[in-house]
Amino acid sequence: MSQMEKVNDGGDCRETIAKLYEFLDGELKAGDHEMVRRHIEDCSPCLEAFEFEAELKSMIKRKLSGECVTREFRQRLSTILEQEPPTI
Amino acid sequence: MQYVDALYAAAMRMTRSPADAEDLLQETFLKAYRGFGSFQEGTNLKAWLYRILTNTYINIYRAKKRRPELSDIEDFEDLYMYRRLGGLEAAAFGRSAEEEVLDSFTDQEVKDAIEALPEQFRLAVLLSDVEGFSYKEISEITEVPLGTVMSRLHRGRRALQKALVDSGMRRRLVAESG
Repeated sequence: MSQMEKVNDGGDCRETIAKLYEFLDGELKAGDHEMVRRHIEDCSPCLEAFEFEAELKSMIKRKLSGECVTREFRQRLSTILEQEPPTI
Repeated sequence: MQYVDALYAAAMRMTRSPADAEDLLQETFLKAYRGFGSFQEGTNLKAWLYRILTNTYINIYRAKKRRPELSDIEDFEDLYMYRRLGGLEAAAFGRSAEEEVLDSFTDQEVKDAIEALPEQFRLAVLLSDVEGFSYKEISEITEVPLGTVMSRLHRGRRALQKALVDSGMRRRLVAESG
């Protein structure tokens, strides 16, 4: 079977995968981040899984990237805000 | 009017309708303008605006009852999608098969998969993956504790993977692994 069968077999892999999202989101504390980084450096099944999830995250952003406001709406919004009394 | 394009794009993702997005944005900017006195200089203006946007959106959709408000969601395993793409690797599609499959999803399929998530999970995923906010910022924007943000985000992402796999299966792109 494929390599990813090995992911999660060992405790280290399980712990690493559990921290996957926080790692990719840049939310791990320095020590934990370093621990994960060192693990995926040595463990190719985990590295592949991490790379896949990172690619998926960027694909979602890409596919959902934004539409812009129309000039008419921007104008209307300006006009509405100009009519507001000053707040401060 | 700083951030108007970013906020409009976010409003479009939330409402999926240009008319609703414009209404939402107009309301957001009016509230921001009127409430600017309560904004503290030196704090995060972008997150503050997103918080108003998100609250306004939630209040509108609650009033309209447009979307079901589920407090819970089925939980899926880690690496849900990755594991199911194993079939491709086994079928000798080549090294970059997984990335090709990811690229093959259309904008519409990804939008539909996001749309299918219950509201609070959808917002968490959008605020993190698309808007790039930190967990702490998302916690401030959506006014829930950090642990709740992480739980919604992680479970939302796994549910999104399930929806994408289902959608890929329908196109017979994703091979089902035994």
